[in-house]
Amino acid sequence: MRRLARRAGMAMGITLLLCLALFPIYWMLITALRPKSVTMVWPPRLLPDPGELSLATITAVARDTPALGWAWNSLLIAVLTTLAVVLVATLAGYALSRAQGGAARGLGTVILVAKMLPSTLLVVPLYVMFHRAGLLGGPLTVVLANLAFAAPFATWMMKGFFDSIPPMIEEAALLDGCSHLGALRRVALPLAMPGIAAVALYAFIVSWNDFLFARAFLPGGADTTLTVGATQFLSETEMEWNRVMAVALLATLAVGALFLWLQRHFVSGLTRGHD
Amino acid sequence: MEAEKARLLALCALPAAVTVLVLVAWPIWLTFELSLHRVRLFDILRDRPLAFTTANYERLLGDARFWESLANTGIFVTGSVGLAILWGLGSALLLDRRFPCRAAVRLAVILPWAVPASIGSLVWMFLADGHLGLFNHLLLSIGLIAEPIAFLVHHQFAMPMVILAQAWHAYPFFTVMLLAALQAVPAELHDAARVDGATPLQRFRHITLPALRNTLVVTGFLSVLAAIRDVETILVMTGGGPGRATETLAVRIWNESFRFYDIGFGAAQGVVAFTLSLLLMGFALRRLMRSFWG
Repeated sequence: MRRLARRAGMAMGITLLLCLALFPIYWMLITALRPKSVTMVWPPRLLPDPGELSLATITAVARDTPALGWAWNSLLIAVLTTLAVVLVATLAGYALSRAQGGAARGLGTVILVAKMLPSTLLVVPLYVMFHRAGLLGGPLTVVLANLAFAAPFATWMMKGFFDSIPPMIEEAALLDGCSHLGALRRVALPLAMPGIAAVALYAFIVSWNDFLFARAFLPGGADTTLTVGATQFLSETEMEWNRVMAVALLATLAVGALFLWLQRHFVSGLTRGHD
Repeated sequence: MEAEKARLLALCALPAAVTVLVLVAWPIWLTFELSLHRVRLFDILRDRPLAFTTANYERLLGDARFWESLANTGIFVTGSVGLAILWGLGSALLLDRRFPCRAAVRLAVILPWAVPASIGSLVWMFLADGHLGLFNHLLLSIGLIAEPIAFLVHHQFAMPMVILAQAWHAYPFFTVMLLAALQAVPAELHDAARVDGATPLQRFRHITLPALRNTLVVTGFLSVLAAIRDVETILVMTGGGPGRATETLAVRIWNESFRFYDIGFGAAQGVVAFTLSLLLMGFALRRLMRSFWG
């Protein structure tokens, strides 16, 4: 009897958890797939009629608004950021993992502090710096800002991965006549591939999801990213929830699919180094 | 040999050193400098020379809005991080047990993580809408309220609403971390305690909680810092309003700089936020350093 009660309690808990997690996502999906005539009516209907669901809003958004351009900007920024973060973090993670001595510790501490700094603080001074450098308005600004934000944590993750690769394997390669660079390239890097994948996924998600930097450094209108673009359908006079949710769906799908596909690597990468 | 290795490692560290120096350290220095000048956004854009002043800080001390934004930061941070920890802990404890389709359920529970924060905020905004929102419909139909409430423009409900949206976005981080920590607890410990007649509550207090403490401290601390700097959720949902009901320090800095174009005054508050985070970090840095250097 007590066991049955515990089972029932657990089932209820899990159902509640699932509802809380998934309902907002469901509501976004259903709003994006319904016609405006249904979503703008009171009272809202929880379950859709099968006939009313269509891709009409999404195709209309792709045709009549700059949504595809936003998606392109988002993709460009995310890919460039990912490349930069992987390069910086892999090398630095290796150096921090293998080096001994004060300089390495100093850099490690600075990176640790940088990781925790409020990114909001960086927005204004970066805005001024980018203006002075004549970069303001271009996607490069968002890439650089995302790099500054993501590189410290990514370096921390990579250090954890290199720590788990015994230096003895590299030393064996050295004995076999490999140079230090060769040992890094042929031994350490291939072994760290799962870590590099996790870092790449982290960097891609951070930069794809960025709202703040794109909002501050890009001109807006047609020239911005999906996350900022989605908010542009909301005005004092009209809330175009269908279109908002259609763009929101586009912004979520890319990362959501990647997340579902690679979540195992990502999760193991994140939890490492936190023990 | 050793010299070659040192050279290689130094070369490897170089890009990161340059990144931190140019894109983190320099902006922080610039924040200090800007805070000591009378500077509006237009002065920057027209490259006008800036006048030195301490007026920004003097204004800050006598500014009721500033203290209000500090209080709002406290409420927002404790509220959203506290809720996210409870949510994450509860879900981790449940998901650690054995039940059918566990892998799929786990994935579904951490799915909010994959939704960009600003996009999630838009969805919560729609749910909480005063005209078409589902929350109002549900509350009306169970008779809890008599009239629809425009949650986000209501000075009492706006803050709980942004806290809820922020926690929804933040809790999967705790779920993942705590679940990983729970799996490291040997099952024999629980079995032994059960044999000795420990109640589930006692086992939670004396086995589970101590095993989670380190993870809870580190993730909790990181999330507090993340919540202090968070501006996206509030910026999207309320912009700091209604009035100033949800204006945290981070949002205030944004509004001051990009809505009222007072870069110098915004920077002065940036220095305060920076000092505040640094103080918080001082408390936890030793512990984090230990987990970093292993």
